[in-house]
Amino acid sequence: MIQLQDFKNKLTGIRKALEQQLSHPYLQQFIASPPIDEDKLMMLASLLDSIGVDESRTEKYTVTAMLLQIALDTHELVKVSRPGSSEWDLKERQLTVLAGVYYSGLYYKLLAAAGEIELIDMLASGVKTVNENKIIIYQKEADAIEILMDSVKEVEAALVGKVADFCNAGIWKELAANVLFVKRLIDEERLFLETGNSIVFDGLKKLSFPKMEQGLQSLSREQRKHLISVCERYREFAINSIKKAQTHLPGMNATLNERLESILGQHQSMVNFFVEEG
Amino acid sequence: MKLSMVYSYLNADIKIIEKELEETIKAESPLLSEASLHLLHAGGKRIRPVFVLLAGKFGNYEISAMKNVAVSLELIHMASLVHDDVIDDADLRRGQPTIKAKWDNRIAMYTGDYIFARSLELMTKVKNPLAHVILSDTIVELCKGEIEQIKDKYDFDQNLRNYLLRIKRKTALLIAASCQLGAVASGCSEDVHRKLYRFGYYVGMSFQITDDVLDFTGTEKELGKPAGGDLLQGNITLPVLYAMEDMSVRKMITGVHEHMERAEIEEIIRLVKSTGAIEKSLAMSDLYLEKALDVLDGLPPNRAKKTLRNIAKFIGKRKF
Repeated sequence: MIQLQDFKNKLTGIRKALEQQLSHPYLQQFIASPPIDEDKLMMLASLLDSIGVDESRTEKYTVTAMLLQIALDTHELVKVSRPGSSEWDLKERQLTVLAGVYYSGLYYKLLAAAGEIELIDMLASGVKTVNENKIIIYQKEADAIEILMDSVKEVEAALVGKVADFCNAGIWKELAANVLFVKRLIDEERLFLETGNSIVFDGLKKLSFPKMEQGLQSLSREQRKHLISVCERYREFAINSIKKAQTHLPGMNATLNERLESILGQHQSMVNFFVEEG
Repeated sequence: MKLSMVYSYLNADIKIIEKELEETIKAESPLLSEASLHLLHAGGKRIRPVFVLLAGKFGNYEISAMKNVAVSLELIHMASLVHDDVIDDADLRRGQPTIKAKWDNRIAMYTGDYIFARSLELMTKVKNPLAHVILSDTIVELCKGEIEQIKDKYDFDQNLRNYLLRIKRKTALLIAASCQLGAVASGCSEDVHRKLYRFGYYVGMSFQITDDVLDFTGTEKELGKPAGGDLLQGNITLPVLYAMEDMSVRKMITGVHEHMERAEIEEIIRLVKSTGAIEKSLAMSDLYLEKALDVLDGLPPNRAKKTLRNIAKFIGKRKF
């Protein structure tokens, strides 16, 4: 119980330090608070904490990796320019671009001040990988489902994976990659089912039904079922890997364990939903 | 005479840098490679790498080490251009379609982030922590400058201090950092790398003021875009600040908006020119140039020092 509280306190402290870095009065006036992926934050803090990295470095590494993640996530919010956009839209777009650049500058500044040149290098290499794979997904460059799914995994987990590499925490790298991959696939499937739009399902459609030129909305019931079953196959595989990794990481903190159970529960409810819907 | 003639004896090393630039931005994704190379091949003055190389000549100059700094700085500049084109919704740069125009904003963001990441990867080959402190501070300040620029758009009440701080962050700091980092990477003493920083800072200030003047005096062919574009976008530059000292001109300028007719903006350009604001701005540019040349006096004599002097003079007098 004390350990659980102790980790929760650490996590709260790291989150506060991150929010402090993200705070910029002018940006806050015009753009929404930057998106913080709580699972990535928890995964980073857990891995560093579990392998015995001291508190100050755990905070530094988590905050800087998260700043980069937030920088990339912020740039995902940049909208396509449209003629006749309002002045507010224009300013929002401009500041969204700059906010992303600003957060990635802060990651470099914090690590440079700490003399952490190797981690600067590893995280920069992570950003490179993320953007290469984002383009593969966005432009539908993958020529096999395996490649598309690998790209999705890289986009989600490259930065956490680089921190794990930096700390020689191979099992954690595998665990984080699978957890974040499952979470993204759940999000994409939900998006596909609820709105009929999903960049990953769009990619799956292109690879599964290459001759079909219409969008996702034109899929038949059977075709939809096929795409969902492909997605679920990848999820099942990743979930088995997560369960295997859990057995190798007995010291995993209870907060993370709770979160993992919740993600696995979401997966199960998606599967049940689909089975019930037939 | 072309600027490149001033430092033509560096051509062999500049070729190495061009090759390294191309190698560094090659990506696994064909589209990412194409987008990055598209920007690279659109050209550019490569003035930052040149400053790195020349500053390196004050220390233990090894091209194998200097190229990491030179290429990193050029890539940081390139990444910022890609992002700037999304910010400004610009369709043309150096007469070529921008990445955001040729593809879209999303591709431009991915390309800009990719190039930025490659620049830092390369920079980490430099193991001196001071180099990273200098560069990272510069990057953050540069971004703050861009945010300030948006904040100050169409703010006709801003003063000279606002303007100078903005161009310091927007332009001068990266040139100053280029000079300082070249010196740091070649192991120069603190006294020398600080002086080179100051030289770069003054040259950068002079360069940007000249650039802001050219926006009024340059032709569309020279500028690659119609004159008066800065003012139309709400950027209050030095010629505008000086011109607004005349109250009747001020009244006209404060009515500027983005969707103004070409004839109206041309009339305002004519008015700005008629106030003597261009001459006063150029005098300010010259003042910074003189300061830059004064700093050079305190540096050890070598060929690079002469070249830096010539570049500074060229930049101050350039016509486009």
